[in-house]
Amino acid sequence: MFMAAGVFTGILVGAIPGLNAPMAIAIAVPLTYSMDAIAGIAFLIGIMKGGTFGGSITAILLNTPGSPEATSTAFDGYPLARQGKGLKAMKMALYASVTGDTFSDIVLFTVAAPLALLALRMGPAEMTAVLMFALTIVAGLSGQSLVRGLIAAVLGAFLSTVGLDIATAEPRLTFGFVELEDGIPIIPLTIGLLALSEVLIQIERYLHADSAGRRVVDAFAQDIPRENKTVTWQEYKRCSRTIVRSSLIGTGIGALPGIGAIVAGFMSYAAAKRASKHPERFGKGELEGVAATEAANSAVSGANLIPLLAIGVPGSLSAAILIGAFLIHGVDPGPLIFKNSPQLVYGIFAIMAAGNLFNLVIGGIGLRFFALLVKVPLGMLHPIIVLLCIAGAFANGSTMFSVGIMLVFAVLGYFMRKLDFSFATFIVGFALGESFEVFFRQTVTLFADRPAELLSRPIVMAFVALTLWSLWRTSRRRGSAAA
Amino acid sequence: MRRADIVVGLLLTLFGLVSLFAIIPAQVGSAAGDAGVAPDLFPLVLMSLLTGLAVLLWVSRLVHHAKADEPAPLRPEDFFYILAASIVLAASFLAITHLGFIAGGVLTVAVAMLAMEGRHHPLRLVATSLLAPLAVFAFFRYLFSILLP
Amino acid sequence: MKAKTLIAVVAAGVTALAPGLAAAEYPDKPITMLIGFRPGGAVDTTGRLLAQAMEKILGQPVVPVTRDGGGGTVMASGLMTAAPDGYTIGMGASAAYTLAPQMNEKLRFKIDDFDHIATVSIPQDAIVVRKDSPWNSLADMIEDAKKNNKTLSFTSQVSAATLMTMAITKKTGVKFNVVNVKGGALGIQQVLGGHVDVTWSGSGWNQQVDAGSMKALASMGSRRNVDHPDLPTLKELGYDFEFTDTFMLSAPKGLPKPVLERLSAAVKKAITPELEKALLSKMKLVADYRDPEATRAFLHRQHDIVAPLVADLKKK
Repeated sequence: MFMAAGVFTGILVGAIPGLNAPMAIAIAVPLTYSMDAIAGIAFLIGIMKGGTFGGSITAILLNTPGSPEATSTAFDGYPLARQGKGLKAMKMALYASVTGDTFSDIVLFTVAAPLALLALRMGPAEMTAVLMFALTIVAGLSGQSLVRGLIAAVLGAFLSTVGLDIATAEPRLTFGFVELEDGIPIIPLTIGLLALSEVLIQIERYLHADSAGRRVVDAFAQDIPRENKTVTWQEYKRCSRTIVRSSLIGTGIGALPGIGAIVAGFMSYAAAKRASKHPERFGKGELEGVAATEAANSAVSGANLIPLLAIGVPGSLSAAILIGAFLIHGVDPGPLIFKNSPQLVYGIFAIMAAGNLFNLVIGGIGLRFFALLVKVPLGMLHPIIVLLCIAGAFANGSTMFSVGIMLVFAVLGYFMRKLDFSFATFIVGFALGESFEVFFRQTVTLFADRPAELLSRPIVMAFVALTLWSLWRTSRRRGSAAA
Repeated sequence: MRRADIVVGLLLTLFGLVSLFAIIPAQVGSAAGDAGVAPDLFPLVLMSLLTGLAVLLWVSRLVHHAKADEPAPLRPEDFFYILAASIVLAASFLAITHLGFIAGGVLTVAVAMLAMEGRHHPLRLVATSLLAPLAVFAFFRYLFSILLP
Repeated sequence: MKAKTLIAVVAAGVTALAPGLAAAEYPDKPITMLIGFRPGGAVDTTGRLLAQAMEKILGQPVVPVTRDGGGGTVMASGLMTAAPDGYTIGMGASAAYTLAPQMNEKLRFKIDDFDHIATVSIPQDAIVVRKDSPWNSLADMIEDAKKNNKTLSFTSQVSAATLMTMAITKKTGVKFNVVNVKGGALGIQQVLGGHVDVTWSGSGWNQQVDAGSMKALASMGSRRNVDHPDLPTLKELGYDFEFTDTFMLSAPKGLPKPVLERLSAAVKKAITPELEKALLSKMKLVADYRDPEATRAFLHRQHDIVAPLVADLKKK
């Protein structure tokens, strides 16, 4: 029951730009004070699971991702919706999401402890190498021009350096705003860049009266053949390789603290495009693109709990908030949990398994209602989304400052979209830039007097090799495309 | 795209140079602790990279001649539109700050709807612009216990 | 004459403060409690439990609002500019008032720019190493480092921890390689993974020590931890350093005296044995009520303890 409420809340907040799962969990934690442990945790985990799928709904239907993880869902989901295959895309997103989530939950149930130990071996040097490899995906996301894509990525990384310096605690590029000391908050940034700027562009098109062809086809219209409303078994099977690959990427990234679901989604999308026999179809309504992103970003959420349950160290913001909730409910996450309260651990596992089921059912019903969104006249819908963007930005930290940030990035996003500067690479740069700097600086501190030792670390060398291989492939591909 | 790239490239180059030589030195300290990296290393490296890429952008576009007459990505009316939109958003920001979310929200929705639909559906306009902010406010207040201003 | 002055003072008070009259029956509307740290954490839990208890005592809702960032300084900056009427109060931690303004000159507030209502709770901290580390006490570690001329690597998530290493260096000459991390959990992780030698942790160490995966060497608090009374404090070991990031309730400067007293009394009354038990079992926090004067004195003492070390740090 609480689980269902949680999943429903999660889908809802996931779908609304500006509200996201970590925030909803944070807000819900105090609400669970009065519940018993299992009910409270079920509610919170429900939100987490529902939230990862919810973001894809608005991404597909309106091209305004409800949460940043779903950015690359919109790449193919929105074109599909415009072709009248909105329901199909949403169903694919749901199935992929639940599959990815289930996969990472199974990994959590079975090999959490060894995997967590492996994750512990990832020190600053290893993480620097991993992030270097992750950054090479920028090339695959950069749109028509590699140079413009790189500019966007570097700009994103540059903006991630705003805030208190981690070593000296002095403010960097804050221009005297205390609010910027923790850096530019990513939620208002993504609301502005992903949701509001897209709405601005859609409003503009509407005003210029070339809106006729821009309207998303009503997913329920009678004249749409049935096959466009459902996902057939064949289609699911066709995407299964992608889903498995994405689930692996998502689980791996989720088990490592400091990278996050946003990057997992982008990486899987880029990987699926690279592996595909017809990469040119990506971005124009390829079902696999939707599946790739959703499987990965959902896989992250289960895997985030691996370090939390196995060693008591949270793997993400959601997990960090969950740890607080666990403690409040008398659950001490960490190495002892399996010994001291095994029934609780299995209770949590059962909750997670049930959560996936609920997600499938509630999501399946819910997306039909959400599909009705496209019946709302645009003249009403867009102003309301603008309003939600503002409210959502405000909810992040309860200040008008966040709203200001959101508006600035909405205008920036408008120009980036018009001038084909990929906002995807911008977000990757922003999301990875900060972690990369921190890990890089930690590595320098640790290895400044013994740099040779880095060469003897197998994980570091493996990822350096992977990075070089990836760069070489990209340059060769770009080269042959130009020739 | 060619002309746009050249203009944007030049603007970004300018932005990069100003940042490198004025903003970053003024806003970031350069003293490193006893071990480690100076706080301004990453901003400087990234900004240099950005400037370099920006130069690459406009130089490469200057060298290559345009293949065909592509439509310009930004028309004058686009600038007019985004300027107007920015003004509306800024006004709405101020209205919410000073009058509260509900009053500011009503104005924002009303202006946006007026712009999009004109006065074709007066009833819808009034109803939406009044009800939507109230609904959003109540939704945040009671479901998420976030008190909008 | 005396009576006249008194009347004049009262009259001036009433006219100067429009809500002055209402202050007599304070509070007559909901109170907003800004919380300076992210939800689910120790400060947040303290704040929310306190808000629930104060609500019953004051008879008005106390609404917690998250205003996190900058280690509590974002909340402090916001609180400073709020109206000093007792309807906006802030739950934060002492480092934001004592240490942050020294580290970062751009912060525009100081300890006395607020009326501090009460001290609420203190965390139990520890310096910890991995279970298979050769050191069983701080002395072991220092001796080993001295003998083998080793530089110890240390993960730090807050300036106070960095300052602590400086205090140790000052006394013993043992050098630390400070690896900065975002959040204590990441520090623990790096120690567990064997990437660094030692770290300091505000509360996350408890689970690790209970599980036997880490060993605690010392605490930098001003008195011993309730849960681990055998753990010595740095002060006892002869180091001239103590720092307890104390959680406290503050208000903008200029709170009418009766309001301040009302709030402070409410906090005192709110800290019942049940609340104490909840804090200790859930967050390993020790309830520690102190009145406005004692809280202010504590803040100034903390400020003075770190001041010379901050000066050293800045010189580098």
